[in-house]
Amino acid sequence: MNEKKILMTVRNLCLTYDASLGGSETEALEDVNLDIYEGDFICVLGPSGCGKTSLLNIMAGLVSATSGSVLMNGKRIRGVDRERAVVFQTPTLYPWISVKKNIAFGPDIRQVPESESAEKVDHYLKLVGLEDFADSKPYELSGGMRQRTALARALVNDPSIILLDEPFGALDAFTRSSMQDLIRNIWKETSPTIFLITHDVDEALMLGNRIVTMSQRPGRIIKEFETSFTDRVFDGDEDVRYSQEYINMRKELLTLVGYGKA
Amino acid sequence: MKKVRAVIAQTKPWVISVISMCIILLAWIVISVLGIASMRTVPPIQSVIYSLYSISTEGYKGSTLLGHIGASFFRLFTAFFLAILTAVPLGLLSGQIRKVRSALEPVIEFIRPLPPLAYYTVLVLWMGIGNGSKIMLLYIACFTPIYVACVSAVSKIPASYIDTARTLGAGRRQIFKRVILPYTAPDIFTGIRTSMGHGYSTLVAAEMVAAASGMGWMVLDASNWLRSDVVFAGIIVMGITGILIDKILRELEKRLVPWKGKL
Ligand SMILES: Nc1ncnc2c1ncn2[C@@H]1O[C@H](COP(=O)(O)OP(=O)(O)O)[C@@H](O)[C@H]1O
Ligand SMILES: [Mg+2]
Repeated sequence: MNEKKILMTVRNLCLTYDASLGGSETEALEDVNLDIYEGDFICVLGPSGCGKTSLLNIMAGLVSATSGSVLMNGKRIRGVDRERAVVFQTPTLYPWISVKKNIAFGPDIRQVPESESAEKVDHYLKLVGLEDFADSKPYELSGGMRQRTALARALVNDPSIILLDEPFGALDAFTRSSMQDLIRNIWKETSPTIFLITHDVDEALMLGNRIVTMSQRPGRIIKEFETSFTDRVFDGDEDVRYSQEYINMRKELLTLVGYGKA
Repeated sequence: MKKVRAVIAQTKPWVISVISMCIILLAWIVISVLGIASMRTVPPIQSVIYSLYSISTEGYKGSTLLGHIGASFFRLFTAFFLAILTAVPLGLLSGQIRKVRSALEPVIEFIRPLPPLAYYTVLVLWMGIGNGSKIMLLYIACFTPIYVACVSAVSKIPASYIDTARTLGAGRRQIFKRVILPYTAPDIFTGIRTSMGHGYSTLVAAEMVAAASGMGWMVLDASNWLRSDVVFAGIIVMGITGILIDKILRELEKRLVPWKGKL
């Protein structure tokens, strides 16, 4: 286990949004430090407005930090790179192209010949269970199907890490749980590195092998946990959420993140 | 009373449109047959139909109806296509680059509320009374709606649409081609339709000032000679062509940007 290779390092990251449009200065992140190993499934848990999206945007290269750095394979990241795929909170599928074309967007812009990419696109289409909707338009899909399309679109591009920003937050409970199963299966079977933001304690517990908790704004990392509930769910133990161990950790997380107070 | 209401509720909207057209037509026929109105104010329907026929075959002052329509269309569509070719790139550029916008906007905002005929006189001074000044006038009339639509469409693009493309590896050019252009296309199309309507009404006005051909000129000239039948015939033709052009544009819109309203 200790042999794992570091993929990304977040070091002394601070972010302050400038006062703009009459607003005041906002300190969003304060000295965030995090090591991400290859094959990790990290769930970041924190209250709304604590800076989770800001952290993800910096890691993606979409936003520049005020100070501190993000390293990837030892090199400081500068701007966006397709090595770091992003799935946004609301799926940003392009309504002018079909589901399949959306998934093929990455290979298409790199001008990968269709003969090369077609097989892979079909593979991911099937993986997320949308083979019957290949030629549908995104606006003909349900919310869950849209988010699955966005996930496939990210995966098909062979990223080194997938950054997901509350990807299931807008879905109903039933769809959300089937999406969680889907992403867990993908993780167990192909072991990509996943960084997933959530404000749902159970989601974090049921998915990640590591859980990182963040404080109220300005966001800091309060505590990290290692868990294996997700492995047990994968092995068919759906009742793990009723185990004492789970309940205890859940209680601790809730207190840390401050939901207990509300 | 209840029955009437039920019948109205069941009637399709287009049936109601047809009925209202029929009523107007019927009123016109009644007036024509009874001869209540003078020939000049409301020409009888048969004489309008006859003059439609005669201007189609023999023509009106030198060219046939088709010739007049052709002259008008040449001016209108030359200006229209020039406007699309320039306003779309300039509008999209202005939407993205603040400095381009700052340079163009004052001029456009100044011209936009002016009645076209006000600056037409200036254009005539500069370019003469030929087709040049007319095409220029129509060009200006067509340009602004497209430009304004492009600028506002670009500013509406959610950042996440562009961010997604970037994280998938798209560069500036590809973002433009694969995200900005398709995203703005429905709004651009709306702008194009507005622009056509604007150009069409300006066309008729322009031909009424200095011309010797075109639908607008034909109507004005006929009214100077008290030929109400030709005036009516001309107006009917202008109305129908206007509707046809809009129908064609709507059909094109449906085919080219089916994602309109789905963004
Ligand atoms: N572009 C921005 N400009 C100014 N303030 C921002 C911006 N984005 C986020 N914020 C502020 O930064 C804080 C953290 O936001 P965010 O990272 O979106 O939190 P979270 O994703 O945890 O809900 C919030 O107070 C938010 O209002
Ligand atoms: Mg957020």
